[in-house]
Amino acid sequence: MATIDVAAERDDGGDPVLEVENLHTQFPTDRGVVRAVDGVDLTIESGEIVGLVGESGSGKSVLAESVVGIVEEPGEIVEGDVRFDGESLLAMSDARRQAVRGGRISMVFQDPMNSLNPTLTVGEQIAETVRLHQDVGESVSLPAELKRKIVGAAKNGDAWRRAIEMLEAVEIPEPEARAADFPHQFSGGMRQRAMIAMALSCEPDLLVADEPTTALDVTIQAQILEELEGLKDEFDTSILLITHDLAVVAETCDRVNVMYAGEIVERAETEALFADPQHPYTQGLIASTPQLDEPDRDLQPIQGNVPDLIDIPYACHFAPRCPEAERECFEIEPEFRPVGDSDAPGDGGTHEAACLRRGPDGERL
Amino acid sequence: MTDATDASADTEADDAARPDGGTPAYARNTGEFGVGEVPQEYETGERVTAHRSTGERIVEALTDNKLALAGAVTIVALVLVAVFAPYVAPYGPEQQFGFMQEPMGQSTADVDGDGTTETVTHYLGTDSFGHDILTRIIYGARISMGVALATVAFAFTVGTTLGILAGFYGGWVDSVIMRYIDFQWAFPTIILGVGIIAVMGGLGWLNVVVAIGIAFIDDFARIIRGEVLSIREEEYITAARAVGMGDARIMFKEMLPNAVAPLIVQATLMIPFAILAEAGLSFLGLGVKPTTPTWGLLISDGRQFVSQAWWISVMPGLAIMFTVLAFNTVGDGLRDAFDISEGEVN
Amino acid sequence: MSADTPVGAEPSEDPDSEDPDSVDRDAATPGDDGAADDADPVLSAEGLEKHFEQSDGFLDRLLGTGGTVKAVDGVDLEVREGETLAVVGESGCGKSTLGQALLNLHRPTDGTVRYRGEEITGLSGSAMRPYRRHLQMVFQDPLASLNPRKTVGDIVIGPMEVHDEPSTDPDVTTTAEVRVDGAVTEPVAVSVDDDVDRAVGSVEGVAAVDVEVGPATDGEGIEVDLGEAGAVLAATVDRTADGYEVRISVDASTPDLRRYRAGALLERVGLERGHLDRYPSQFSGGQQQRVGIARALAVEPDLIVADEPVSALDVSVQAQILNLLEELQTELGLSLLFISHDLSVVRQVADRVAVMYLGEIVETAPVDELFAEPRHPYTKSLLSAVPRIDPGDRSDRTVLRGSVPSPIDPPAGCRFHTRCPEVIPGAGWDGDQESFRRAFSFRTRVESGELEPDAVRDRLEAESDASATDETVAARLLETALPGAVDAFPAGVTESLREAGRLVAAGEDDDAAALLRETCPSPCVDEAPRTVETVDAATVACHRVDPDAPGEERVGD
Repeated sequence: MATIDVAAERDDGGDPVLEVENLHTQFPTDRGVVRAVDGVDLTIESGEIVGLVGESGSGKSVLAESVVGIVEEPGEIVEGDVRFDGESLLAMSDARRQAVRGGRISMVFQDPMNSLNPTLTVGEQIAETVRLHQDVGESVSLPAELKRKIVGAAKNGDAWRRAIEMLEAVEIPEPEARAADFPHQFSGGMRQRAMIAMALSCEPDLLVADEPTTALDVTIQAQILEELEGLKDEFDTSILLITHDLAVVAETCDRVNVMYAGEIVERAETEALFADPQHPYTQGLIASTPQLDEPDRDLQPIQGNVPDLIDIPYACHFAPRCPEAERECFEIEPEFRPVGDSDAPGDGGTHEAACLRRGPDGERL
Repeated sequence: MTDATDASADTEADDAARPDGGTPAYARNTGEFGVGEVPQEYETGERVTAHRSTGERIVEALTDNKLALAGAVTIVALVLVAVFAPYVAPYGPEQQFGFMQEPMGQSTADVDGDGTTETVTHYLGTDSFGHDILTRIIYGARISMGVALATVAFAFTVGTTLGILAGFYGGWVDSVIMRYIDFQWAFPTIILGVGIIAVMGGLGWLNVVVAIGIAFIDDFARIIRGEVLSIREEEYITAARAVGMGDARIMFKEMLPNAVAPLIVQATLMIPFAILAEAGLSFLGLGVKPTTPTWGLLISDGRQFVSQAWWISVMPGLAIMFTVLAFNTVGDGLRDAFDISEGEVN
Repeated sequence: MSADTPVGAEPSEDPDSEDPDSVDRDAATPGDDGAADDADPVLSAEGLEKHFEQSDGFLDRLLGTGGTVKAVDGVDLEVREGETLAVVGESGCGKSTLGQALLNLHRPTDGTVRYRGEEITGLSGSAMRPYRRHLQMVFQDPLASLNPRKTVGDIVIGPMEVHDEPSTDPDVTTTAEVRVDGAVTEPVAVSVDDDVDRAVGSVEGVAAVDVEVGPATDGEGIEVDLGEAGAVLAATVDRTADGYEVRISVDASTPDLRRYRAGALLERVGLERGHLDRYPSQFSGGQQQRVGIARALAVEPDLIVADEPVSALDVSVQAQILNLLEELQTELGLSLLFISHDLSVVRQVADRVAVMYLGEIVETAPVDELFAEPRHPYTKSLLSAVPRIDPGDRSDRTVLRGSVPSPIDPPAGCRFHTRCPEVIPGAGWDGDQESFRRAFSFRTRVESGELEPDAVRDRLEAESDASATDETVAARLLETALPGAVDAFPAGVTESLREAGRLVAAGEDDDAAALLRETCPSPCVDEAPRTVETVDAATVACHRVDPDAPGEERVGD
């Protein structure tokens, strides 16, 4: 895989684009504190697509919101750090963080309709992002905006031209005409493309895509995923792809993190993870996913439900649903251990799982 | 059928491959605690979010909101006073004392009928006939509150039925009902009430109830129609139809419980209007028999003596004011609790 | 039949039976054995149409149109006894409307629906009611499909009240599963009342009561233990000359019986009797869907229409529900119409699959057949778009361009022709199919009127600060709207394409479209494909498969 080489190349030069260290994001509620993200470490190198897979209630979206800095009240990051290009996003001044967010980190959401302004044309929205975050010599002050609106000068500016280029880059047909359309005139797939165009318009270093294809049909999903991969190469953008769909991750990502109940339980190069899943949760998840090419395989659901993330008393959050749990699993917090076959292709010793019952012979329970 | 021994043998044989209960095929080891098993000290008990019925939500709203609670207490007290009027009131409603005594004024009369006269205090004074005003207000509460509650109950039932029918069937049913409602809405309540009483002829509380009740129908009908229009699109209504439920059952058993909250708020807020409307009709002489004590009639009686004896009109006026305030605070509290916008319910 | 299994019958008679939690498709495929084909299908539709008028509505004003949405447009299908027919398609293809039209929840615009040969099309509410007990539905959003103000008990009991259940079925025989404790020496005869099937569900026409007989605790006579069913059944013991006679009868009011059965149903779908008094919002998504299934089972239906029953659920929970459905189907002989957009799920649960596109069924086939050898180009594209976990399973992806056209004005001829990678070149085309497809996609775009030369002109002028000629606009239009290079066609075609570009640039769209229709004609546009039978009762609606179809050349396939 070409992408592994990229990662290796980056290893000897420069910081990773994003480092999340021991992140804890919590929401106080009437019933107790919801520990949505409970001690997560995550690294994204330049130019790679990293997958974050988990079911609903795993805290994956809150993790994304923490990275981008848009955790909703009353949630807050209580511990840990998010470093972007080596610099802590949490320690930054608000103004600087604002500049980074949107300019160098951008986000794509599951439902594009909710994140596009229905009263502005798609092109105008992209152009505005460009004006805000890139120096195109167009003022973003209110009088300037009004003037553009009234005189209609917007369509000759650099920002507008850039917007059309971006729409073209995400393969929206007839971008010149479509740019003047309103979001409701777009189909679901086109809207998601427009969102991606907007997110990429400032050539961010990191794109956080939260379930970007979940609301789309499979043929459209295929288009969008292909798009994302192409754009990653074209713009050299790192992508954090958050999804519940194992197959999407398997096809698109370079590395994968599996998240369960606020914690990351397994991480590896994509190929290694799916060739040899180690954590019982990952194994269960794969066993319960219907697969097109294995119709005769029995589905083996993981019994039970994802726990409420309030006051979980046991150490390994998966223990109650795990077929292999011992008493120790409830008592001892599992640390990451190397689990993969380091000789296997695509492993490189980076395959780790947080499970007491996995790992090297001596340590395994 | 297999007998018990065979059954257990089968179960064991299948166990290795059983994903439920036993170990799923993806597991590499068997653990002491299989799927769903937890050491006792880590049992977390099943957490179930409490479901609150409409009644529970009302109680909660009242206990959380002190003003609404005060209102509710006032209402309960008023209802009790009205129900037990003969026991609560100091004198009989027709008993006469000195004319137009001031509040806290005293008169001497043979109250207990033992042949000797006593000195009694009129806390709110007496009216032009020498009736004790406090007593008249307490007895008046019976009629005023009773008529108000009956009126709202009438409007609630008829209005809700019309609104549900309009919202559920749509089409021409909706057009006919809603045009009528619009027509009625364009009429001032009291004039409509006067008109209806004129048509029905004669005085009496039942006529008052029907007259004001009809005038109030439109508010309920509008609210429930709006609710039904949105509930109609819910999947559980499709599910009810798929099960084979009839229209009546869907309307009244599936839809109504989900639409009742704004109606309850509306009803609470309509009661003061009903009290006022009844008072207004009585004041105009279109309510109950002129000698019956109702708040409206009491005010009306005092009208010509306002310059000499202000309390005859003001005291029942205050009673109306406090009652209306009490219902309004409760209604507002409920509206907040049910999270209903002011636009939806007036 | 019912969801209530007698306690003694736990592992079922078949020692080789699969464990209940795993999906075993083969066991549930009686439709395959040919004999079932002779009987009337459980549910069948012929030429079913459901159009939604868009006049005089809010949408109408919004779109400025007053068209008819042809959500379902001439669908033939049949669901056979005990089989799972999956209807698969993208959002907006009309599959959910089809499901609801079949159950008469939408009154069909045209066509007929038959339940076991009896026509039920457009029956009124009360006339339809007797059929509703045989035809039930499970919904996509489990929470939305449950009334939030009703307890789960009320929800499951509702259908029984509507259909006056439980009633006794004369065709059901009743029997007792008797276990005698060793200490009882005298013979015990057990008789069961005929109407006991009101309390205990029947499996394959037999309602069995589980009876345990042991010596009485006070040492006199015997004691009968009916287990949980004791709540609604009573046993009377008579001493006879040569032993005991036990008579089992129903001993509960109808509401009690209903509640008991609702509890049994909840247990059957993996919940607990104690959940009867909870409200839907107090359950997780998977549990809510189980309640939805219990409600559907309450009247012992023959067929359940499951509209995306697992698409709102997490993967692991989805597998639980799929397994439950499979299990119930095997046990109760249910037929399932499984509506889904997820091909992997369909692959797992279906016996036969119908692929739907823009209101029409384009292909039906037994599941293995369809996935092994899809015949319709749409099916092929759909299959290739599904992401795979195993890299070995990935094939070259045919990524479909564009999105589904509007069902208000669907394309003429074959509705898929605007996106079809295998569109057939018409008579007179002398290039290969690949080049035809490129030219054809240009034709589609011109015909749809989506090209906007003015916007292109504005942009060109903004870029070069000079006014753009029709010529340059045409060149840019061809560059963007025509896949590949314009000169990679036979000479005549290239010239026509250029000319069409110029016409579009000059604003003469109609002339351009006419020219292109002449340049790249296709039978796929001119004529709607017939639905032809291929092998094994599989049908396809595509000119490529139809041996009698028009079109001179047949490339690929």
